[in-house]
Amino acid sequence: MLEARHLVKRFFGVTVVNDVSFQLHRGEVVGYLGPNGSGKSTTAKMLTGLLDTSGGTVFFEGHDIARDPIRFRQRIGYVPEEAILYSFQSAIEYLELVGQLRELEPALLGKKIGALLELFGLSHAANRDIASYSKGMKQRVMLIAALLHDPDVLILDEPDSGLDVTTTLVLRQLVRVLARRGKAVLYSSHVLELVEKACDRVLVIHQGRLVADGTVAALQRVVTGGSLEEVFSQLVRSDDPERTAADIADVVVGHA
Amino acid sequence: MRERLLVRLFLLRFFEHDLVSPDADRREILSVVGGGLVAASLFVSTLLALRYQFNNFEPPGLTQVQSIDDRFFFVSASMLVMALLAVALWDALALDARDASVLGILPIPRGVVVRSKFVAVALVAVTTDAAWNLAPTLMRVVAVPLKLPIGLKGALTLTLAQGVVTLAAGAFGFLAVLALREGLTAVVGQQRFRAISSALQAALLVVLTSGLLLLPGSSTGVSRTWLAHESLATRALPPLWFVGLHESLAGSVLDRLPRTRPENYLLVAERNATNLYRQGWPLYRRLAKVAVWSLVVFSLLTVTACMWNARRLPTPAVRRRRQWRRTDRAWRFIVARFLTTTSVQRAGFWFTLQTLPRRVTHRVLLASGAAVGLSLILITVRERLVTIQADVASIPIAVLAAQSLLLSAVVTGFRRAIQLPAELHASSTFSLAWNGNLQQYLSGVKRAGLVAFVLPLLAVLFVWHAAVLGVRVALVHFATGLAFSMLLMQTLLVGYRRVPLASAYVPSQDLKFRGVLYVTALAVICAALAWIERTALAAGPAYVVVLEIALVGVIAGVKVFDRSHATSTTALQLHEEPVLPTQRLNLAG
Repeated sequence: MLEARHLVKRFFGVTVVNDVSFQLHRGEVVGYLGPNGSGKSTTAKMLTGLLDTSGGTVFFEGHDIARDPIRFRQRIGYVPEEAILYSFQSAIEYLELVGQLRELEPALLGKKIGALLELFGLSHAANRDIASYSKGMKQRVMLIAALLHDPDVLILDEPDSGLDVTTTLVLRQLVRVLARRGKAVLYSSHVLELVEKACDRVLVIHQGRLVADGTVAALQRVVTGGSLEEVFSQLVRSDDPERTAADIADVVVGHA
Repeated sequence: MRERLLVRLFLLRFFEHDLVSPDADRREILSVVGGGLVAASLFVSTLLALRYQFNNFEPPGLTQVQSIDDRFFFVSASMLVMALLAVALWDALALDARDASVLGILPIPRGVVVRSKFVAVALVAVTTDAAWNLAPTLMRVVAVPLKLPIGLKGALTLTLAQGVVTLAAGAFGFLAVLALREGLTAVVGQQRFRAISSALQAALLVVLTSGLLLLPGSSTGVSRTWLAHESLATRALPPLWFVGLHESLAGSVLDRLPRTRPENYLLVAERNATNLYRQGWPLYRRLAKVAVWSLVVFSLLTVTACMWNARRLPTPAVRRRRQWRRTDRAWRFIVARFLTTTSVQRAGFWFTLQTLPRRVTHRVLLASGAAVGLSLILITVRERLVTIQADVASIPIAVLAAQSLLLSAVVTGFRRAIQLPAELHASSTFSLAWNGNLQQYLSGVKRAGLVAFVLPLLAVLFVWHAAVLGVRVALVHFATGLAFSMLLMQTLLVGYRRVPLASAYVPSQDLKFRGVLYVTALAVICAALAWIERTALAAGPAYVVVLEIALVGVIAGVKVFDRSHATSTTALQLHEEPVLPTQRLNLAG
């Protein structure tokens, strides 16, 4: 359904994403893992067409998305890593703007907004300015905005950031349910447990390169480790966390 | 050291203004703003000084009376510019919740934070005051006819008096706004002040900008109009207090000059001017006292209010939930049913109505447009504002043209406002949801402008027109005004291919040339339209109908022309790079 083919992104000569290729199929939830600065969000932005590629192509149903980005974006839902919303609008106003721009039928839009705000626990704050929202509340608004138009592909870039435990659990179930209903989901996250439980397949990116692509079970067979956390550690770790923690503590208590 | 760091931090915060792009080069902004201030005041003072140099034989009495007009102008300009600065910095004048959250957790006494903020505000005010008044002060001696022997001491006295008085007037203007802001906050409390702050800021902008635009016209005949006899108006006009202060400090320089017999044709005028000037001496002294006391009182008031408000650091705003009232439902029904036809149109309509009143930058542009329009009305109509016009054929063109001039200013302000993004970093909302139908979105934006800004204005003007022109003429004039606004809105957005309120702001190139051309063309069109309208009104109802149909026809023509040149889908171009406002030499290599 969605295919990244040899994606490359360079910023001022520095390669941030280097020859990343993978496919995302209908009904599949794919986890996208990597340490900070490994190129996860850059890949997600290239997949949505928000960022031009320095090399490689993104295909949607066999067509290059750069040829008709508007039609492609009508079929995707995207939650960026940082919830950037119009702070002077209320959640309802923001969601109406998104729905109207996406040309959703007014009655259906109204119903969907009301129901989703209720289900995501935002109805009490729906008429308040977004500026007064917490990080988690903003993230929930972004999630609703990404789901409003019933997209075929969902690209979620750390959607659980700032969410409370209950909403995170709902989100985990939600991506499974959506996948069962034929959607393709790319789920980028730092919460390994969530990825382990919700995703059919896992991609691991490190320093801009894809270092692993397979099911959790397959990865566990390849890399000697029990949980996904151990597998991930072996794939991307460069330092001993215990040693680093001890070094930090030394600096904190040191007076010289 | 700690205080200096805090002052520096607060000074940098002034650049974090809605009008300034976060990516902008601060030195560039400083050079553009500072250069603009100095250049504008230098231009005006040179222009005024030239008058004296072309009239070198003018005797002292006439010079004194003429000079009072100039002092009134410079004092008022300084006051208004500084008051406008305070209004522009409005939210940055006091500590806000972000300062509290960043600095509140640090082990810095509250007093140090408050003092540093106060020093930063004072530094900005003093620097701007000095920059604005530098050229008029240095040019003061040039504004004296060469033949008048004022001497070195006289020249120094005049220069010093000009500098002190205009700086004091500027300080008064700034303090007056600051005192109003802080005084109101102290009286009604932080929360209630937040609710009225935006409206107050916009109102001040309209009043002050109108004042500045009307200043050249009202700076003539000050001695005869205001200072010939003491009245309530004389005592109540702050610029006159400072003119009195100037005359008390330096009026004697010209007054003590030996009176030689001027040319015969100037004899009576010179004697009258000298008498007029000299009879005002007691008044100058009284006004000077008022100026000094007002400055002291406003300084004390401002400091007291600031200290009172800074008893504790501000807390984040708890915004009141907007109530979903029945009127809202009715309004939404009307918009969905009668004013818009498609979803994208509705998106443009509502987003415009949400952005323009809630964003400072957009409010500033709209208020500036309204201020220019208001000034134009006052300049063109003047005393005919309340004169009842019984005969249609003799209605002054100025009265009929006033509406078009005001509407032109407001629609132009609206056009400028929608060029600015609501919040550029959030424009990705548009990138993701954009369906490429710019024409529909633009149509929604235009409709919002007409419904929210043009129609209320026309309604207010209708009341005035009904009173002075009669209901029948007022109705025709209302229809003409609406058609003219629609035509102007349509014409100003012909070929517009950016997404209003979402695309990055790209300043218009060659604004100086195009601006002059635009203003001249509008003035001619407004006058011509007024003349045609008066002719049609005098000729009979059939001609009025023809006029309105012709206007609608022109609107349709412009619309068809625009559509024929538009593509069916428009790709988003949100981050177009603007041309640099200054030329860079790149000397660093």
